[in-house]
Amino acid sequence: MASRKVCVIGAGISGISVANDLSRAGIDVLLVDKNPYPGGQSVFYGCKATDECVRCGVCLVREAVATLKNQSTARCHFSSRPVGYRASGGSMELDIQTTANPIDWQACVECGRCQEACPEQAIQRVPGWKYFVNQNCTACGKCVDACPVGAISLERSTETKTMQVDGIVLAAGFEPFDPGINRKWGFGANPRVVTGSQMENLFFQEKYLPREAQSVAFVQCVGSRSLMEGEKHCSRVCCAYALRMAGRLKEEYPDLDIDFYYMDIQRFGKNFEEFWKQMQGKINLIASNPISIRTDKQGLPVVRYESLPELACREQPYDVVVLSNGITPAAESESLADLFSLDLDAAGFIRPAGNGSSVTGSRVFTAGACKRPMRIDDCVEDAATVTRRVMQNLGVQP
Amino acid sequence: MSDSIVAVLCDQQCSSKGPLQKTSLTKRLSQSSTIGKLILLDKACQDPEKKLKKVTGRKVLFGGCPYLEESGFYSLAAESLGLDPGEMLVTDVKSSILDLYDNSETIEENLIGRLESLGRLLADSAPLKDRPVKLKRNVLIFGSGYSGLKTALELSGEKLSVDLVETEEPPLAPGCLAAGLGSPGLIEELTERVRTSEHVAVFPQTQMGPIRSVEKGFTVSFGRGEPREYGAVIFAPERTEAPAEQIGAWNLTRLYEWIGERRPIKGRIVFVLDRSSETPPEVTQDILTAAKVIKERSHAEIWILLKHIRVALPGLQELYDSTREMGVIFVKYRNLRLHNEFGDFQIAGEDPQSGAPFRIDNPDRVIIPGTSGLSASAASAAETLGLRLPGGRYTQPYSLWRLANESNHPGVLVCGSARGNMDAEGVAADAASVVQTLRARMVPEGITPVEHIASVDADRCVFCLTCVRVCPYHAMEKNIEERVAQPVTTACQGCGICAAECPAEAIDMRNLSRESVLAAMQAL
Repeated sequence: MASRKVCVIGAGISGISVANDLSRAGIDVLLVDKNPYPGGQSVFYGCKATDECVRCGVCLVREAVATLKNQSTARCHFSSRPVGYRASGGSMELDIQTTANPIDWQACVECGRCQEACPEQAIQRVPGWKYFVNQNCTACGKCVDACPVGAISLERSTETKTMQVDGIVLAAGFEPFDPGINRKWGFGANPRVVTGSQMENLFFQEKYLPREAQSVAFVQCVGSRSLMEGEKHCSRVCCAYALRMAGRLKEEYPDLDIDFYYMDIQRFGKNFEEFWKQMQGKINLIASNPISIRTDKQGLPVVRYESLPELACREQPYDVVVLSNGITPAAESESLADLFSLDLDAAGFIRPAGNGSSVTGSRVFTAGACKRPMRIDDCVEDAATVTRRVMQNLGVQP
Repeated sequence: MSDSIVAVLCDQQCSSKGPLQKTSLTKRLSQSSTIGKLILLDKACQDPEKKLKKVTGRKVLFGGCPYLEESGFYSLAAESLGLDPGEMLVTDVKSSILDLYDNSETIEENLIGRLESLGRLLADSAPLKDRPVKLKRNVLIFGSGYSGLKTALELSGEKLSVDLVETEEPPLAPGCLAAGLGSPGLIEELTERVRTSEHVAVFPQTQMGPIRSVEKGFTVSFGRGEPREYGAVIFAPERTEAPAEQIGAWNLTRLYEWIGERRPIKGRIVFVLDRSSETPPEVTQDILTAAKVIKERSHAEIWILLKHIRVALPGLQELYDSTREMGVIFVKYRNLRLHNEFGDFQIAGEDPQSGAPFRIDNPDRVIIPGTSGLSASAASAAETLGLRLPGGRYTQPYSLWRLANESNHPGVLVCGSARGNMDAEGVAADAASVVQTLRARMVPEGITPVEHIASVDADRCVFCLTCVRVCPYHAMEKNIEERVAQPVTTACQGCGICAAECPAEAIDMRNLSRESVLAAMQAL
C-alpha cells in the first residue's frame, strides 16, 4: 500500500498529539504551524504543582513536544500556513506558504550561543525543543556570527509549496481573550493588572509576583459568559487554572492575601469538588459581580465589585490583579473555515459535523480547542479520538 | 524437537576470540531442551551458505551487535536464510559486557534464556508464516449502555472478536439518550447493529464470575461454563440514578419513563436543581432537553429552580436560551423549603439577591435529579475486575500520567460515564479513544504485563504515607494495624515514583534490574 500522507494544521498540544499518534501508526505526517516552534499556547505555561500535582497538564505538553523531537517521524513546517486548498475526486491538494525561519531548527544543535550573543533577548528557548527568534529581533546579525553550525540566516524569504495529501486535521487552537478591548478591566492602563495567560508565562519563568506584593485578586469570567463583550460561552478552564495558580502562589508566599472573585463556579473533572473545598480554607472566595477596575493615586488597581450576598457595591485595592481571561476562537479559524468550507458556531469556533470529532463527507478533521474550549488533558483525549477517525477514514488496519 | 531448532550466532562479539566464548555457549546450549545446535557466522567463516546447508531443521538467527543491527545487516541475513523477523533476536552484547556489575556468566545466562524462549515460541510444528497469529484478539466489554454499544461497534470494525456482557435488562441508563428524547431510536438502532454484527457475541443478563489475570490476558468465567480467555477487558457500565431525596418527588429516570409513555402531560412541573449537591452541566443538559420535549408536546407549566445555571458544554447556552424563549421559567433560589403534606407539595424560598420570598403552590410534579453513579451490579463487577473506586462514585483514578482510558488495573480499560459525567458526544468520542488506547497497548499475545512492581520493606517503613500521597495510580494503601504502607499489586504500574519519593528508602522496585532496564531499552 502506498504510504498515506496527512497534514496536521496547528502544532499545539492537540496537533502534536495527533501527529505523534499518526506517525506511530506509520502514516506520513506533515505538521504545519504559524509559529516558528511547536507547542502553541500552552508550551509557555508553568507547572502549578504545590506539594502535590494539581493536574494542570502542562507537563503533558512538554512530553508531547519531546516525543515529537525525539521519536516522531512527522515532518515539521514552522512559520507556515495553508493558503490554498483544492479537492477533486480522491485527491486533495494543499498550498503551504512558508516564511523561512532565521534559525534552521533541523541544523540547530542547541548550544545556546546565539542566546548569549543576542543583545535584545530576541532568542528564546522552547522547553523540550530548540531555539527560535521572537519579535524583538533587530537583525543585528550577532547571532549569525555566534552560531557554530551556521544554522542562522537572517534572510527572510517566502515560498509556497503545493502538496498532495490524503487527509487534513485542523487543530488551529484558541486565542486567549484580550481584556484590552474593554476599558473597564483597566488592562493595559495599569501594569499591575495582568491576564491569566500572562501569569502563566510568569509561572513558566518562575517569577510569580513582585517581592513586595501583599495582596492579589483573581477576577473570574473575564471575556466569557458576558453578553456585553459578546462572548457568551463558558471557557471551561478558567475556574480551575485560576484556583491552581492561587494555590501555587499561596505555597510560594504564605502571607499573601488572595481574594477570588467569581460569579458562579463551573466545575469539571472528578476532583474539582475536593479541590474547591481544599482551597476554601486558603483563599477568600467572594461571590460577586466585578464591575470595573480603576487605578488609585498610589497606582494600585482597585477592584470595584457588587457583593452578591449583601448586594452592596464595594471597592478594594490590590497589589496585583489577575484577570482570568477566557478562551476565544483563534484569529485564523475564520479564514481556515473559509478555506475548507466549514461552519462556525455562534461563538466563532469551528463546528464539527457528525460525531463531534470529524467533518463527515470530506477528509478534513478537526481536533482540540478550535472546536470548543478544552483543557490540556481533554485535548490529548480528543487527539486519540481524531487519530482513530483519521485512520478509519484512510482505511489503515491494525 | 530439540534438533529441529538451530541457533545461528551472527556476530564478531560472540566469536571464539570475543568476550563470549563459543565453547562455553555451545556447552550450555547442549543442556537446553529447545535449542539444539549453535552455528557461528563470523568473519572467520568462509562460506556461510555451505555451512548452513548442512544443517536441517528450523533456524533462529541471533545477533549481538547494535551497529550491525542499525545498518540492517541482520534483516539481510535473515532474508538470505529465509527467516521471519520473528525468528530473529538481537541483543546488545557489548553494552552488557561493559557493565561492570555483570560478569560474562550472567550475560550468557541472559542470552540463553532469551534464545530458549524464542525457540520455545517457534517450537510448534507449523512454520511461523502459516500459523495463525497467536493474538488474544478477543475483548470483553462489560455493560450494554450507550458507551458499551459504541465501543463494541468500534471494535468490531477492528475485526477483534468482542463479547458484550449485559447486566441489567433493559439497560438502566438514565439520561435523555436512553429514553430516546435527545435522538429517538438511537439506542434501539445501535443494539440492533451490535446484535447482527458477526464479531460481537452478546451475553444477556449474565452474572460475571471471578476474573483472573493470566499471562498477557484474563480469564473470566460465566455461570457454570468454562472460563473464557480475553486479551483485554473494557468496563463500560451504564450510569444509574439514585431515587430523589424527597418523598413523593420523582427522579429523572422516572420522568423519562413518564415521557416515554406518551400520556398527556399537563399541570405544573417543577424541577429542583442543586438540591443536595450541585447539578453538573451534563445533567442540566438532560433536564433542559426533557423540559423542551414536554413544552413541545403540551401546555404544561415548567419551573426550574436552581442556584446557578451550569452551561459549560458546547451548545448548552443556546439550549438554555431556547428553552427560556419557549416559556420555561428559571428561578434562582436560596433557603429552599420543600414540604410534602399528603402528596401536596409546598415550595418556598428566597430570591438570592433581594431576599424576597417566593412560593410555588400545588405543583403537580416535583422532579429532583438523584446523584448518578454505578449500579450495585456494576460496582460489584468493578470489584471483580480489581478496579478501585477512589471517590466511591467513579471507577478510575483521575490521573494524567497515562492514556485517559486506562484504569489502575493493567489491561482493564474504562469507558464512558463510568469515568465521570459525560454527554452523548463525549461518550462517542470516548469509545473511539478506548479503541485507540487498546491498539496502542495491544501487542501480539495481548496486553503487556507490568514486570516490576513496588515492594515495601516493613522494617524500614516509617508510615509517613508519602507513597500513598504521590502514587498516581492509587496503588499504595495504608495498613493501619501494622503501621506500614503496602502496595496493591494489581494496580501498581511500576513507575517508581514512590521509590524515588520515599524518605526512608523503604521501597524497592521488585524485578527491576540492570538487565530488565537494558531489555526495555532494547525493546524501544
